[in-house]
Amino acid sequence: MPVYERLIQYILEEQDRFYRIAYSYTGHQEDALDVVQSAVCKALEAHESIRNEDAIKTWFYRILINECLMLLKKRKRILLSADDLGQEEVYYEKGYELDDEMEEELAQLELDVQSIIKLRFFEELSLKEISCITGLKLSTVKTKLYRGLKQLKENIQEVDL
Amino acid sequence: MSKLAAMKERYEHIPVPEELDIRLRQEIQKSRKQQEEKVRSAGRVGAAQDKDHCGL
Repeated sequence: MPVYERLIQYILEEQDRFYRIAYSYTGHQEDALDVVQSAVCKALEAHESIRNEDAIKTWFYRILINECLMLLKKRKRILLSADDLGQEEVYYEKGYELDDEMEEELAQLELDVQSIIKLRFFEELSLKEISCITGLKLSTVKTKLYRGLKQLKENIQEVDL
Repeated sequence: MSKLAAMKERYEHIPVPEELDIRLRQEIQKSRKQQEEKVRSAGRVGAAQDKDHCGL
């Protein structure tokens, strides 16, 4: 099967996963839909750059995570300018608000550490796959994961990691 | 259950709107049309080159 068709098949089969990870970053249905759609659009446009068919998964995740981070950065810029105007900050929809202590703590971590923890524990990806997605060395991924979990553990005393 | 496991449980139950599949299929359809157009254009260029090559 050509790479293009394999990519389409992968997208259609795994779309729920993509949405959930996007939602975990945005906390907002419409934004999560936009992020996944944009990632799919970019992936389809760039499919010729896939060198190794077995790498479709990590290749697509990289695009998706970048889209999520870009949206957060854009939102941060809007918030900064909104502060000047005295406007309110972005809301989280019901269903995944940061009402849980753990989620609040996770959201406080650096974005790359958050990504590593989400990809490892929610998406159950291997450290090697996370290394490919984030573009970080395997040793760096391990260190950031360890430090992130340690920080979470310290912040939430009784968390059982 | 640990807090991390509880968080994963919540994560796995995030409802996925039906609109997602509709939007992605539209995106795929759009991309397929672009691909077909690309192939057609390449075919036209190839045919023109063949014509030149044959001295026609």
